Amino acid sequence: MKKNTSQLATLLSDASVKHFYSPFEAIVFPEKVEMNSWFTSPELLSLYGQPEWEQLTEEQRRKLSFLEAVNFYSLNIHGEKALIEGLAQRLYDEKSAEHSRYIHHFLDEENKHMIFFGTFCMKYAGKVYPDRKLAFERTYEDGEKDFLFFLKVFLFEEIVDYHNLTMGKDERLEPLARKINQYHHFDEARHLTYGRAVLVELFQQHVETWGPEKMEEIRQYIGSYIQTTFREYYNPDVYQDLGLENPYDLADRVFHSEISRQHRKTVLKNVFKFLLQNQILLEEPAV
Amino acid sequence: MNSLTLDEVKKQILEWILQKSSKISADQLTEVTPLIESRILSSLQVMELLLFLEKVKGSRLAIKNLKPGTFKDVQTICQTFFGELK
Repeated sequence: MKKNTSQLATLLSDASVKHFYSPFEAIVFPEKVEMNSWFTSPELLSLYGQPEWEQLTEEQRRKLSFLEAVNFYSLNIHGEKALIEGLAQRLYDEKSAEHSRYIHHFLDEENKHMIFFGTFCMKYAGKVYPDRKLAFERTYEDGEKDFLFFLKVFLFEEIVDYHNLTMGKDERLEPLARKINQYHHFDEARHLTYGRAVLVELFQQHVETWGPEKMEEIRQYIGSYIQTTFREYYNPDVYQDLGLENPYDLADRVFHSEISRQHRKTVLKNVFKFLLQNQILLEEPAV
Repeated sequence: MNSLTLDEVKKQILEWILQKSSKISADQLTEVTPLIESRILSSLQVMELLLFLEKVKGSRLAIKNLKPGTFKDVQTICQTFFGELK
């Protein structure tokens, strides 16, 4: 029999207890890392396959892989800060105690990830790339705010997890970068299971009362959120740090290129499959 | 910044909004049209607008301590980020 979300939360809490670790012991950060290494899988780099890629020296390609690792960890930090804020607001709300027990683990694990990401960024790059996302207050229909929160968590984490899973297995990567991706994926697998279940539960609870107009708005929002989330992977600050000319035009052109669009479609394959299966989407949005 | 005047910057921003938003036409959009309140721009599109403003200005914009209402309309955006222009 399919488990309800309270039962699932209990199972996931037990798994989190079983796999509990200290972030200060799990990953050792050496004083220096070998800069002439791959820190991001080349195929996941924003310029891979683009004309600009051919013009980069091998040293520049590896530096790009370092800078885009810092960018990836930075956008994870910003995403997880928002996630932690939203999860904390949902502790001990009207849901069952089992949910709150699991949210404590969720918060703990997200905090550990931020320790990994933040330590890497500050120790080896001396900075975290700033966030450009802004949120404006608005009114919501009943259940909409909760649904959109878990929807954003789902989309953000699924996209990140594709990268973690790929890079956690990539033996070309500098061992520390590989390990950070492995740890992140390991915990995220539980978070994704929980997030998916809650998302579907909220959708089923509210879809009838929202009606077609609100659902159309939500479906458009999904497309926009995906585009905005991916846009952060094409950061002009990275290109500037690499010494490339016209970083804003480059980011814009590369993001809108067909190669990048195809890459996004590959990353999103399972995301769309899940959203279509549950009728949260009726067709794939443009990416 | 390529020595633009304030009017030129406003024009560029207005054109960008028309290109990105299907919710308003050129004859309706002015520098005091409410962008967020009228949902002409979503919070997600504001990130893209920020990138565009940085490109026009030629440098990174500090957004950490922005006041609410900074993106209210084109006039306020220009006052916030291009106040030094004439």
